[in-house]
Amino acid sequence: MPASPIRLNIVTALECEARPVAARLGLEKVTSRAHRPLYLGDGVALTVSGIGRRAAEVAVKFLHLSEEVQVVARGRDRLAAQPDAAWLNIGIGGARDLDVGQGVLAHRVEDAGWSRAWYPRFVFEPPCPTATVRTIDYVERAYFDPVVYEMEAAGFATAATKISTAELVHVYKIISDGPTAPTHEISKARVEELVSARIEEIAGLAGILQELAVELASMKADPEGWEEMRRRWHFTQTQLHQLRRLMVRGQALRPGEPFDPPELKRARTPRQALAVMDKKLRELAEAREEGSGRR
Amino acid sequence: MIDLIYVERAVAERPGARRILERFPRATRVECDRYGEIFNGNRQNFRLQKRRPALILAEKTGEPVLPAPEGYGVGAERNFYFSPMLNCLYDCRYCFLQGMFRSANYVVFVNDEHFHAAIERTAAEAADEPVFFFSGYDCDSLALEPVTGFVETWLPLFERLPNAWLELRTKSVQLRPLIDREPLANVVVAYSFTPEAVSRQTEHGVPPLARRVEAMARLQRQGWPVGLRFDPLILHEGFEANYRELFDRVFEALDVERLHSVSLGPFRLPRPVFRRMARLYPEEPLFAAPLTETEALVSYDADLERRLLRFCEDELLKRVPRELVFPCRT
Repeated sequence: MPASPIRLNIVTALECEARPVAARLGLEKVTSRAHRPLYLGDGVALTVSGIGRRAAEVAVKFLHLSEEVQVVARGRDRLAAQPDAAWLNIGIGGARDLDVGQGVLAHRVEDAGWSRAWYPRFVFEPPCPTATVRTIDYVERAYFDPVVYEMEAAGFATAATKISTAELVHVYKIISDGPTAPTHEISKARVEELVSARIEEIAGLAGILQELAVELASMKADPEGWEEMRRRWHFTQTQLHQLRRLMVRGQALRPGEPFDPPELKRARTPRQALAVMDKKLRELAEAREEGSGRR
Repeated sequence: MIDLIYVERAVAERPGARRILERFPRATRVECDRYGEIFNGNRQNFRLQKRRPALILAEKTGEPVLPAPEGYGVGAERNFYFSPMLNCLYDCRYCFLQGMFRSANYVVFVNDEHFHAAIERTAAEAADEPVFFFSGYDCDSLALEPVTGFVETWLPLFERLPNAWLELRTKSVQLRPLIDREPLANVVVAYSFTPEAVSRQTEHGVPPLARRVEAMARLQRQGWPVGLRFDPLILHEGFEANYRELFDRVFEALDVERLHSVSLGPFRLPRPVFRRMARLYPEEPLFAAPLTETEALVSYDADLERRLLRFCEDELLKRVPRELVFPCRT
């Protein structure tokens, strides 16, 4: 089982939607203690929510809090989902004006029942057209508005946007029905076929989202030597914040080197350690501004 | 340039919105109720959004003209600012916008008449004295000119308000709308500069210094009042030589006799804004400079700041009369 942190979480409503995605992304099905379908792969987790907005919302929470599940699945060190992992809802939907088989990303997700809306942010070039996705509680047959009708996206967005940054939460739908392709013709096999036909687009999207999650993680990465430094003294929470700021600044001044001045060896308390670091940092910064230091 | 445009339903049919939408016929258009649905909200990342900002067309509600902060001005007693747009085309690492706004999307307010009425009202309240209006506080006044048409729609207003002054603060070289019309004596085009070495490292997407200097000189030759803004002053290796060189280049290109004003101010930011910026760009050496944090502000250590400011002020005073120089500490 892969050891890299989860960078992308995927939620599908149906097993037949999940199977082609899991196969393409190299995910393995594992048995979770929560008796929920779970697929894991290198940096990717996928679960099957079942139909409906509430089910999708619960599925997101399950993946987010799936530490226990992942431990069970991996049988080793805890490896929880990253707080800024990307989230992708993949499913099918009906539309009046789009061709069956077309994949679309949501640029607006509407919750028809609650008059709420979410706006996924496109910081990448979408690999497919974008559309408004409207979550409803019934099977749509009139296709009155020029939107994609489906049943999970709003629940997914409700939960995922509370966990991750808006740029990393996306909804991808494949058109399965419309005025000329009635819903009663949709079978599990047909859904699997529709998803399989779009699998390269989905894989590309998964790759983009994972890259963004990695970029975001690098912005928030611990400074070099962080774990060692925080173990050396018993810092309070406030002091830990100060320590992090000092270490990040130290690293900005000397990229690639942990900020660990030798003078720290003489510090006996966390407060002394922070004072030493602060002083050293000022000296470093002033030395860097050649000719601008005190003369 | 713009692939995605969010439009508030209430303004979608306004002429300003329609003109912009027509300019980007291939952009995806997404309707929303209020721009805050997209622009506000904590769970957004300015740095990621800066890769591909969207445009938001919105209606400005509430008071659109606000008093400028104490100490912000270039000679007038009464100073105000307004923001017909939020955010900037450029990506300057020292810019407070990246710490002030959660979103890097550009918001353009298309209800010009709301701003115009407020400006007319404010100017009329002090009809006997000059009233200065700064338009480049939350944006670059000209950088998105081809989209906003700001100059075309706003200058006629200032043409008929004799006591109202407008500052267009910019790093843009989009001169066409200014070049194509008669200069106005009460509209100052103010260019902000940092030394070339700083500009290259921190002002991403900004036209090269030489082009900006050339653009400014051209405007001055045509008769536009121009101003110089050395704000923020950035402490860096060799700052003395670099600022001296910058001043030489700029003043060589300008006629000092016809210069409107010069302002300068050290790098300083509200503390929460600074902290957000430093979190977004942890690797940025600018934020690791010798800084002092007070309850409200983050700025260079006092003696360094004094030294930087004094040096630049002294150098400027060798080139321009004192009455044109306005240090800004706001």
